[in-house]
Amino acid sequence: MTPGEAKPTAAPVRPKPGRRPKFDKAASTTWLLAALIGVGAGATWQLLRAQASPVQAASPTQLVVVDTSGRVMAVYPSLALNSASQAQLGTRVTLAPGRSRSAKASTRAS
Amino acid sequence: MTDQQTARSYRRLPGVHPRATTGSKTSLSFNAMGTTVVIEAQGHYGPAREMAAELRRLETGLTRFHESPVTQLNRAGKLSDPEPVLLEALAWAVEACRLSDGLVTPLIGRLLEWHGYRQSWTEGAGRGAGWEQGQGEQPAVPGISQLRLSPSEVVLPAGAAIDLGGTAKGWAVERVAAGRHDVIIDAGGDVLVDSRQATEVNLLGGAEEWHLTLPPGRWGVATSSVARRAWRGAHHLIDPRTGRPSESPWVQATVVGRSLKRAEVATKLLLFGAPVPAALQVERAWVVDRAGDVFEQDVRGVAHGAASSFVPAS
Repeated sequence: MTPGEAKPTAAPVRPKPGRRPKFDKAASTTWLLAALIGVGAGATWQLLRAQASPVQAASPTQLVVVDTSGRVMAVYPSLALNSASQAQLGTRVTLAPGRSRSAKASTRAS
Repeated sequence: MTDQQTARSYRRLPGVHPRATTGSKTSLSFNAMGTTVVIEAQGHYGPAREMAAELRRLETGLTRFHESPVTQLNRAGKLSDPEPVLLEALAWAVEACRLSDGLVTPLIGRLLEWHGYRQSWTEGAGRGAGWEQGQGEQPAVPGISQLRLSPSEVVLPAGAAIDLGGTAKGWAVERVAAGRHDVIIDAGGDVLVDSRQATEVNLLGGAEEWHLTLPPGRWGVATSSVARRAWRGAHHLIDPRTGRPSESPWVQATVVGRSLKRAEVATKLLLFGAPVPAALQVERAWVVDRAGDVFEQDVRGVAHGAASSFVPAS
């Protein structure tokens, strides 16, 4: 705005009290469809992920257990896994990432 | 004897230090077999002290670095009326040699000396003087059938020398823990666990840290590495087939099994890249490559002589 130019005098337009805005049926339908498609795609993705982990067949003779980031956590011969009960799996020696604060010893080369 | 009295009595065992008393358990540490040994035992200091004294006694009788029956045997080539402990340790070494198809042999002594391993290992020792390779022809490693063992005499093959470094540590720890329960002996990373509860053991040496969970019971966890006890141009794991320090993709191997002395032999076989026989009773095994990545080796069901398969653990 240059010096001497008149200032705008128009006031902001406000809806008149007591009048409801017009319902836009087309826009609402579009948003609803978009939301439904999004929910459906998310559910499909979760189902696909669930099928891919945590256990997948690696070969006819081995099963590889991976975590959600794809790290291999354990490897079982398929026959052993088929015949293993939950109790048997609980008696297995396991390896997990990270140092344990409750470890009683450390194995290292000396 | 009270705990305080027993703790004071440690001062009469040079280099043995009480570490802690937690609840009904006691712990102590001391140097033996070229490493730091930690013993945690149920009850008062008595049982741990007895085990420490016995480990020291075994080391004294089996070392090739200080005057001992082994050094006498290596000097003279034979030894009359050997002590039962030496016979026992040699008997296990001979069995380990047979189980490993001659790869882990007590007759490696002269070759180890030739490569420079002539004195007791302490950290950084390999950088000092006296660790040079020998002059002259590289000594051969005789077959184990040439070693004669009997209660009245031990006779070495001509020119050979004994080294029990590949088998004696696990054997000694198992021997002192025999018949004892609720005990943990950490002999520089070779760990014997006897516990009624699940026990966690940290696995060190890889680029990342891991930990093992052992179910209740008695377990042996052994680790060997060619990155330790290494000096200029050589390390302690000599391949008797070539006479050279072993070469494989792996720098460290860790084995869990029901027997520590058998697990100890299995770690050497993994570092040699050799198959692990079922007689070594390996439960699970891991190897570390030069980049520090940890791989699991499935050794169950691997027939003697068959190729091994490796599965990355991360």
